[in-house]
Amino acid sequence: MKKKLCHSHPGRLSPGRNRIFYLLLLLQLFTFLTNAQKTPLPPRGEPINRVGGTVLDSKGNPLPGVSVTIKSTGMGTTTDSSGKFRITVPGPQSVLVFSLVSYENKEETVGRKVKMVIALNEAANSLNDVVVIGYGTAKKRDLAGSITSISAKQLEERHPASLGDALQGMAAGVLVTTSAVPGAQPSIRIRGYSTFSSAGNNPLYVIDGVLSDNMDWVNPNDVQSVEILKDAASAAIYGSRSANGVIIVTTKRGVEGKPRINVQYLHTSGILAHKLPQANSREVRLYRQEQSNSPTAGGNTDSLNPSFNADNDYQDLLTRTALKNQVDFGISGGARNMNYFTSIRALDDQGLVVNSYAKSLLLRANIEFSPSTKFKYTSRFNFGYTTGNKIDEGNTIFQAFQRPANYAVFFPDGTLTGYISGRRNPLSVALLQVNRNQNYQGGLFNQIEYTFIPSLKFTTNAVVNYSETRTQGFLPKLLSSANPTTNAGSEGFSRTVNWQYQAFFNYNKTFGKDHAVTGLAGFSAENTQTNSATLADVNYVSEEILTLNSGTLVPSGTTTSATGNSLASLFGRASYSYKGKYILNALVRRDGSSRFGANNRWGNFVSGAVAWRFTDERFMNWSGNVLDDGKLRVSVGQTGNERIGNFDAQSKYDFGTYFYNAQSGVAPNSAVGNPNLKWESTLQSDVGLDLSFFKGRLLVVADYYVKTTSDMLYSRPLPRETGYSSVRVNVGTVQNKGFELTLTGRPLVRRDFDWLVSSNLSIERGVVKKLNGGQSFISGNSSDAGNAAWLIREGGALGDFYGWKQVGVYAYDQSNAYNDNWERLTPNFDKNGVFQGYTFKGQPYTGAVHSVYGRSTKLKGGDVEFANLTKDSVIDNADRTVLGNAQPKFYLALMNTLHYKQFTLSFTFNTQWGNKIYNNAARVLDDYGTSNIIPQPYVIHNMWRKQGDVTDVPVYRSSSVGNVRVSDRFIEDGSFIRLAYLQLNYTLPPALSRKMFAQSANCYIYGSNLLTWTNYTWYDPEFTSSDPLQLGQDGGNYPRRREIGLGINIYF
Amino acid sequence: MNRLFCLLILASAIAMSGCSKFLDKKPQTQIRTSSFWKTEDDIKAAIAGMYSGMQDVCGTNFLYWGDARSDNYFDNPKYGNVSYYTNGLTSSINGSDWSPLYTVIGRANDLLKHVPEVKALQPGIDPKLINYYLSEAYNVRAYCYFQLVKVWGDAPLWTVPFDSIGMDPYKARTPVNDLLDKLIIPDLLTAESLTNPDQKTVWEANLGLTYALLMDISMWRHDNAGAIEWYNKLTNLKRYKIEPTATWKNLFIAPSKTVENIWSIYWDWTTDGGAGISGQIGAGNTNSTFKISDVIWNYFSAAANAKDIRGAQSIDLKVKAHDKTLKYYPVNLDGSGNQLYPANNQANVYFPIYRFADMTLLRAEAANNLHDLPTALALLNQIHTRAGLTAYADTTLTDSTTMSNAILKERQYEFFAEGRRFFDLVRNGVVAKVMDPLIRIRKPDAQGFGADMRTVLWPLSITVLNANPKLVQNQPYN
Repeated sequence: MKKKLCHSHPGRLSPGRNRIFYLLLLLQLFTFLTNAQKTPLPPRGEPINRVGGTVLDSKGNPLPGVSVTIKSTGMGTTTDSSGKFRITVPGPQSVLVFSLVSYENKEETVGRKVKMVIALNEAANSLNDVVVIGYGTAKKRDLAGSITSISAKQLEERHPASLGDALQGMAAGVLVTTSAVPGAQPSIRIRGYSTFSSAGNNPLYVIDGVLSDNMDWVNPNDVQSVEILKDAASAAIYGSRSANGVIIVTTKRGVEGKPRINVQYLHTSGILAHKLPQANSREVRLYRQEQSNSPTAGGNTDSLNPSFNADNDYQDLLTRTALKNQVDFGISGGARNMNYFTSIRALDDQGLVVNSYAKSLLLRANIEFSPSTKFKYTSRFNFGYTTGNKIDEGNTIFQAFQRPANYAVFFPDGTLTGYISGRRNPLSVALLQVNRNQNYQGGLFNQIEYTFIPSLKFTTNAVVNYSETRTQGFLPKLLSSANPTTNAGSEGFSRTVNWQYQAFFNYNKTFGKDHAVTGLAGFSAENTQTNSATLADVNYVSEEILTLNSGTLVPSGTTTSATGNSLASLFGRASYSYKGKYILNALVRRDGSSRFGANNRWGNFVSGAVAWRFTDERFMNWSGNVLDDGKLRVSVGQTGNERIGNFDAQSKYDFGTYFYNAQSGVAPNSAVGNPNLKWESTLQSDVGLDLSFFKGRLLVVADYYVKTTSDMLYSRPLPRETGYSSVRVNVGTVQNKGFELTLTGRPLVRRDFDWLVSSNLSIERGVVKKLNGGQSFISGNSSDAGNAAWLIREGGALGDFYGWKQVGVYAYDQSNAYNDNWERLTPNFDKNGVFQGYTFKGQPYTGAVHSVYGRSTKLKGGDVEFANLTKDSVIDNADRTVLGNAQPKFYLALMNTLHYKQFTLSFTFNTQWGNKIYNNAARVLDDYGTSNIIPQPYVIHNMWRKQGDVTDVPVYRSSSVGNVRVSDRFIEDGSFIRLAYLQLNYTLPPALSRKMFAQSANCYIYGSNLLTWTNYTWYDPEFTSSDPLQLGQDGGNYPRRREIGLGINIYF
Repeated sequence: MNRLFCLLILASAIAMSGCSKFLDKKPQTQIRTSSFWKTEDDIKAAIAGMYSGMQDVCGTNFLYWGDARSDNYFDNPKYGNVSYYTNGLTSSINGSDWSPLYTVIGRANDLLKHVPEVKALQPGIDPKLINYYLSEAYNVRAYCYFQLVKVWGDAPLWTVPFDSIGMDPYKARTPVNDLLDKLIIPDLLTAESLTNPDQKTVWEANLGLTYALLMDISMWRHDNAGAIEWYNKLTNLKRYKIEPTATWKNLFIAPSKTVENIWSIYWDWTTDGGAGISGQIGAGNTNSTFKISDVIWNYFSAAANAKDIRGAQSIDLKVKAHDKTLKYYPVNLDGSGNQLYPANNQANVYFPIYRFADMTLLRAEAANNLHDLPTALALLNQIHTRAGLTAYADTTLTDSTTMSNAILKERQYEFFAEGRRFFDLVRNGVVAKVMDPLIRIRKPDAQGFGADMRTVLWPLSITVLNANPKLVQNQPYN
């Protein structure tokens, strides 16, 4: 079968394709057009020992870009877009080596063959893969640090809307938490939380060599590979911003040959994955009776009252089938001395909640031009546009639960209602409140590489990134709670310009046969400037026109801001490898940042790693058949964090916000400057083991690390009597220890059937080692009721929920009775319900009876019994304790790929285990705090009503004794197992795709979030928490969709 | 390799030489401390910054400190916090944080340090103006420290700005009498010596405030003779009178047009945002957290008191929930004659810090304390008749106790929602007598103030306590 497939006819359509290709190039005004026109002419005068052929994958599709080298000469070529190659070999004894990322290498002796057909098998993992390591590349087998590499193929199966989403579960030690909001980016944490600020815990992104705080603008389809640098020895090459790991993204380049046109289309439909129970009208009335303590009360049952006789299913009204359409178009190709890759993606994502959407358009062109073997010029251009309406979750999907079901959504004439009894109409908010944004981003990157001698290369590049954002908000009169109603809105503009310059030398030479040496030395500088303005307006004349000329400007809502920072760096790296058996690696970086005090601008980051390939030792010969490769890695190094305010080191006066009697005032900023402010440094050591069994059919990677951040960039509170509130200082220590295990295997390899399985497990344990003055503090809610509170203390972990423990609900007024040791007594009643005295452990009790007070009131039947930790007569702040932790005990992913003939089935399970969630959404509903917020049905049916009721829901009582303190009543287990992705792909047989004039074509069924097993009761246990001091609080997040779709993918 | 090293050295040299400048970034929408304090405009801006801090002091605290704990207000169930009204303050309750006062003190200290530097740089500025700026800073600083004394008692003493992290930021509390004798009174005397008597703007802390504050302090310390002396100095300015009945409302909605206001805080929501007090007493878009107490409601709503012009101009008698105080809002009626309230982010409130009626009744109180009943009665009647009521006859208030009660009642109705009542009760030593019966009605098992008067003071906020280990909490709070 394979033989039959080897002859494709790539030339047949070339005139037409060339035209499109030329048109595109013309459009993009690339100056080296003429070079491209000259390309595909075959050289004349073929020598006799010339050999050609085609390289195919296991399904018979041509493989472009395969490197074909003549063994032990280093000379070679690559296959073109139809998998074809031609090469001149010294003689028939020559051996050709075929290699391609994520495929197994193959060696073939030329012999007498003139035409060769080579089939490459997909590799689970290959040691010869080239890995990007920052300012250079290395072979996987020569790595001494902890780097995970993810290939384009793995990413493509996810069909992600954003690249971040696609990384979920791909690498051990990388926790990707996706968001359900259309267009939102996930949060990515590498090896735990290492500092207290939100920004300080984000990884650094390096996109084609350009440093960035995000990868929002990368089209996942453009990505060739993603490398995740986890340990200090790898990441420290990016010094000051690498403490939380580095994610290196490399985009695709064109492959020599005819233009390759790629068209992809994906359509998905999503439904609400998890509908929640909500009190209906009858239950609202039951609750009203409880509120007014009258069995006849029940709100307005008047059937003629248009405001109060509805029975709405708000979730149904507010959600819809979420539709997503994604179109990709790309042309790539190349000639002998140049190649190009271009792509366009258009995405339209209509979210689950009505009127929420995100649209984006991403364009890219990557061009490489090398007029000689010494000189290479690279130009990359990318442009992106996104727009969306970010609906207010709190006032729509969460308001849906608060608002009584019997309130009208529409007036009798069919128009929308606004406020009724203080509760917004969530449908009106979703449809009429405007929260639009438009974002533009463009980047132009130019690079020159010059090879002085084969072992020494000089690279210099410059990039300019320009981004602009416009936001528009508007609240119409219908949604105003003021009397008379008013409308209000705002418009914001922001512009950021960033430039970066890099210059570095790479040295790479093997001395003799056994001593491989590499070196790197370089310099970089970058500068960022952001200007923004927000203008606020009220009393718009027309609600049709939302530009600012329609209303009256409000100075207090109008702000401008301008800020900038700069960085300069010197860096170097050296490595030595003896036969690949002993590997040494050292690097140093010196970074200067404008953010730090004049005395401490520069910081040095040093790291080193050693690796030992013990399977190459003679004493390991016995293992040859089972263990084919084994490497022990040890690394230690220093990384940094500089993500703080641009001017935290300086004392400054603010203006523009202090007005008095028409005079604009000036006052000191509430944070005092610290000229001694310096880098936060993270010391990380890592021990790793890479094992390859059964000729690569089972790969094991295990890592253990200890990561200690000291001199944390910490906003230390100042005594308020100074007139200031805080000063940024270097104090505090956080430590993370973790274990990571990745198993990749091919348990089954048959001619037509192939099974690839990969799983990774991450265990992280963080501990706060040192705080300012050893003083613990409460983050979040410091009062006794409401939102979650967290205790940050030495010896504790980030995410420790703090509050009171609910023991139960007192059944009788007399249940609040304790002996001298504060053990609860049992009240006894006769058959008429008359109190008969207490017993303790079955024995009549006659001693002193103590009772507990909450907010200086004695607790009665129906009040919550809290754990009385201090054993005194009051429940107060001293009775608080740690109630659980928001970080998972471990997280794990299991990815499977099964090939059967033309079919490929892949699916991924994700799990997070052992984390706790503070269900603040339920708390807002269930704490009886506002009379027109209706609790969940369980609470309405189970609340304590009369003496003797045994329940876990406290009585409805207007005067509060603290029954709804921050307690474990609203803390839930957030563990889940999820079938996150599933794809069934059918690749058309080449003969069939050729009939469609295509080189290859495939279609697939795709599903995401198909099944979730969890005990968590709100929408979804997976949501992002931005503040590391306030992890795991669910305030009523956007619901997640269960999504299935169909897609096709054609290469012409 | 040689070429490599040469290039490397070259690159590093370029890098190092250019970097110190390249990495020196200035704030762009803020100004470095070192670049400020050069011109008179800088002083004016800093003065406005100080007064702007006073807006934050008053915003929500004005009523917490002066009214919420008295018999003027009660909790609006579900929206407020009953603890204020039942003597149940805690260290996490709103109002327990003294930071806003110290922020203003810090700004005043900053002015006192830097204004002389500007004077040295700009010898052309009129020294009278420089001195007036300094007197404003002294006045405001004294006012803030006196508030600290009244609300918390002992307080740390800061007389210089904290402008270098090399300074020790931790200070323990200074006893009340030291604050008064070593800082507040000397500050006011310095202000008196530096001030410009021609400056009369009601929005600024001018000489009128100096005397009013000195008189208030004397009364607080039960120095009646001293109070009378400062009252006389105030009247000698011939600047202040009792506002006529017809324009009584202007005291709150147009202080600069009155002859009575001594110092009011300016407010413009378009630049300052809405005044926080509106969410407590009445805003168009939210329920008030405070409910008008029955004591006030019953007095003003009684038919017999209909002629008291303060009733309908202070509270909204049409609102059944008793939760709307309209004193600070101009009349703005809808079609059915109901008052329309501004949204809480659009409310202007001109906080009356001192007005002459206050000083008049304090003078009456001093006279009564000195058993000079005729003087007390004459002064009391000035306010009583201004309200549209019939003057007390000299046969009705014949002893000090009835006179004292009448003065206190008059102050309660006159200065309702002006941050006065609780301090009046404290000054006259009647907190427990007035409040405890009421607190026991509000909450049967509550403790009240009782004989242990320590809870007259507020607890220190937990935030404040945590930030400074040298602070000791007011007992019996924890």
